[in-house]
Amino acid sequence: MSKLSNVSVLVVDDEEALREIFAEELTYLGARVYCAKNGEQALQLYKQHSIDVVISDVRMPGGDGLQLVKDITSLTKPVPKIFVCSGYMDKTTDEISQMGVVEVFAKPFDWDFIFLSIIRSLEGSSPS
Amino acid sequence: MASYVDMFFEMSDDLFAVIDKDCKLIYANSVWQSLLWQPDFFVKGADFLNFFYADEKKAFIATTKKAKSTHEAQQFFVKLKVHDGSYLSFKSRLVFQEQEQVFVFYGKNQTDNKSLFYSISLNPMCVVSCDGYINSVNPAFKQAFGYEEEELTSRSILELLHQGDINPTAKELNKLSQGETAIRFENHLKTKKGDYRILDWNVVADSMTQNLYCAIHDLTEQRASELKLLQSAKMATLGEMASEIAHEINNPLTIIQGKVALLMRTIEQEKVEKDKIKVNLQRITNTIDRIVKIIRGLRSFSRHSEKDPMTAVDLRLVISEIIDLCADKFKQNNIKLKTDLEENLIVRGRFAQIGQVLINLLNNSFDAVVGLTGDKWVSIEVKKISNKIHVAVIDSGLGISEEVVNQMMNPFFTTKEVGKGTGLGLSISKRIIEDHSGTLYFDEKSLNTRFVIELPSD
Repeated sequence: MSKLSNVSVLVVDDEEALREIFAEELTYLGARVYCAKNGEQALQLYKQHSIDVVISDVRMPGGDGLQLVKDITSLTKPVPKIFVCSGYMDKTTDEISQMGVVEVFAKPFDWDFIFLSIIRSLEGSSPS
Repeated sequence: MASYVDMFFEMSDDLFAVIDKDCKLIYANSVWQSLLWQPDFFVKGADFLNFFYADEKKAFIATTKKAKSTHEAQQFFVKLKVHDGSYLSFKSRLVFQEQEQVFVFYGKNQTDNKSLFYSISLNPMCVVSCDGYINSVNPAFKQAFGYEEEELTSRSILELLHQGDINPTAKELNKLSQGETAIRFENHLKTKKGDYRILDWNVVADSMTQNLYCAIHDLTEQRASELKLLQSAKMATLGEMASEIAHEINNPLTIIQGKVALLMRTIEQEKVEKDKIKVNLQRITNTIDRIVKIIRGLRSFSRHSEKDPMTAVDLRLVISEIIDLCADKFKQNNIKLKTDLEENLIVRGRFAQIGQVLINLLNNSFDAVVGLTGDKWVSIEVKKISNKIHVAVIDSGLGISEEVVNQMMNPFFTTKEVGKGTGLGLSISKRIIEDHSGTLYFDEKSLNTRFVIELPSD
């Protein structure tokens, strides 16, 4: 059960319970997990560590998720696989996908499906 | 001299007549001929009752009997049909002359053009006796409620009312016999079709005839559109909040799903750690509570509440439910939502409506500060000052210009961008608070933007 071994995942959500679930499940799948409660914190962590996958909420106090996507994709590093999950968005799924996001999940989502998508997105690309 | 007296009668604009005990005409002055519409009837021995308006024949016969038995002059009003088809009203007296067994009738023309209004008015009008029996109705009355005149005369007006309105209306009408000169009240009248109309009545009593003159205004459509407006304003407020609410419910649902998936996995792997399962279950229960609170708030603010009875309302409870609904929206936008509430804040009113007003004020404050930089806050302060409860919603916004202050309570006035505000929030809030015998005003003396609701304490 280590489909995500050697994979670093950055989880960004202002909801503590959601960060907990992500962390527990991803750790169980073998990933190294970093958690941030808003975009600004996430960007700091992203700059400090080598991150393969980012899963981010959109609306958070102190740093919007879509701003984070913009910041990350504009950095010169190889762009990680970015997933966005949100309860409500001003933008359409297509608009967000065009920003360089692999997939957009609307809350409430199927957890198994998210993890499956993460694993699939990494197939064929060698994790750093 | 006698011939001069006769001349007076012929020159007069008033009606004079002598009739026998069977109401057959003995003498009538010439005014009758010039005024009345059936000059052919005007012969000696003609039936005097033929001159009367159909409904008044019975009443006139009763009056003759009374005049005969009491030997007193009877005073009453009659309407007589004249040659142009309209009716003239006469203030009349009838005396029984014992010796010759005849009745002497005198009628003074009371009609001026104003009585035309009775027949052309678009509003229903009627004349009822002091005990509520219908004497006459105008054409608008017949048209509005679908009745024919015959179906109404000699029926009590109370018979046409909704069951629940009979006693209150009778009580109102009673005030007139207890010395009040005019009364105004509302009730529901059943039409011929069987539906009810909401009516505003303005009634005066005529001291001489004891008749009640009723001018009626049909409020049914107005009330229906007011209700619709109230409801749509509330739905618009809720619509503006829909995205926030979706967000607030989606997060907890996602948490529950995640925790359930986690528990499933641990159980399947038979790595059952009791304490961990307990913690996770507790987390699920708390999260469900969060959803329940939001749904409860939504339910109490979105349903039709305009007709709720006024009950004792704990403002602390209203505010706590509203904060459950709005807290996340404020948090997401870095706006501090502060409250400063005293104990014992009970008012008499409708929970949902007071909530609606507070949501409106909070939303306005939110919109005022959300785009600003620096310290953003909105505060609700509730204090009891003598026998009034002051609810103040204050924000760190830039204030309101004098021009806007002058107009903001008007319906459909909005400073928000198109599609964002209905312009109904403040005007409807003001109306709701006034319905609660309170006032809603903008505090121009305050340094910060401050709206105050004053409600009588229960």
